[in-house]
Amino acid sequence: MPVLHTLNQSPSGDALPGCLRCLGPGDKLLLLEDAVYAACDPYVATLRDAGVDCYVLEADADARGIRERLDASITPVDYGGFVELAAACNSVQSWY
Amino acid sequence: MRFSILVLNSPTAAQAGDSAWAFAQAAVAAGHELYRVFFYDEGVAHGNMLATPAQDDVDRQARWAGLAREQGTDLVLCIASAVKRGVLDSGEAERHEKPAANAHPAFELSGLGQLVDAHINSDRLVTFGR
Amino acid sequence: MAARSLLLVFRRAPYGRSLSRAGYDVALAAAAFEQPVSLLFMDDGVWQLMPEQRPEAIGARSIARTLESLPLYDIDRLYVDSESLAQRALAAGNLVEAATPLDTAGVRELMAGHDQVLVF
Repeated sequence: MPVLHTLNQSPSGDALPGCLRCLGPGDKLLLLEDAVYAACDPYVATLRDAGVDCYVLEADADARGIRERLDASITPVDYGGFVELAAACNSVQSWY
Repeated sequence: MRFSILVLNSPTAAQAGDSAWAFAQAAVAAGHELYRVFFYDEGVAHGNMLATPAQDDVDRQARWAGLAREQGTDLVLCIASAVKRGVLDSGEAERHEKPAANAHPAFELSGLGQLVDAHINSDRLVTFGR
Repeated sequence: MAARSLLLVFRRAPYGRSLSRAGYDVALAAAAFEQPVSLLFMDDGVWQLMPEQRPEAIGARSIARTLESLPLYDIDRLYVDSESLAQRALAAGNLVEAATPLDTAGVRELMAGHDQVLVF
């Protein structure tokens, strides 16, 4: 029963470690708002280690001027993609 | 699929409300039902009719109201959160002997039971907070 | 009435922000509508379980008292993340309300076992 986890806090905050610890197999993680920085160095290594599919909201990355810095392991999505992820998982759990 | 949304932040304090809006629009565009948007805690500021956006800023209230009208979505402000933060409909203004009501008419003041109802009756409940 | 289980996760310290109290109100509303509800304290949320709170010192309503009243509303499934306790040099045995300590695997299982998880 996969869960879509959403995270909107910068990776220098305290939400990311707790979120990563709670990811289950098959879960997905979407980074939005200030969390998009986690899709870049130096933070992205911990996401790769989490072993789940990770996504980043491209509008938030564009707004913050970091599109070119996004790691290739993180899939950019638009809001339509966010909705699809929410529909494909069993529930949505938001960290902030 | 039926979606509901929980918004925990005021439109001015955080991006969360705008993210909620973008999600709501995308869900509707994809053909899903948007059952309820529940504004809770600081989120009730979304329903303050006296909030006046700057000339070059988006009228967030108008777009939520438009979406609700087109889709039949409930926009609910948690009544306890709203009253303590000074967002009152005419009933609450009278009850508390306040000089004016300022809840935007597109938003209904109601209890947390509406959030629980959304939890029970929606396929997905998505939170936008900070 | 249909029942969809709800896990409320408290991640923030008490009193500094309004969001924790908001979480308890959701718990009470869910219980009033006969929804199975559990509470998990993790990260700074474990501070809500401190036994000697004196919120009158800052003119705040007592979170400890709210916790103590939860069983009256049939809310008695409280859990606490052991790792968060350890990070803050807190012991599971000295908390204001009996909360079952869980390791990380237990926390994951608790979350996976609920229809909806809301974080406060």
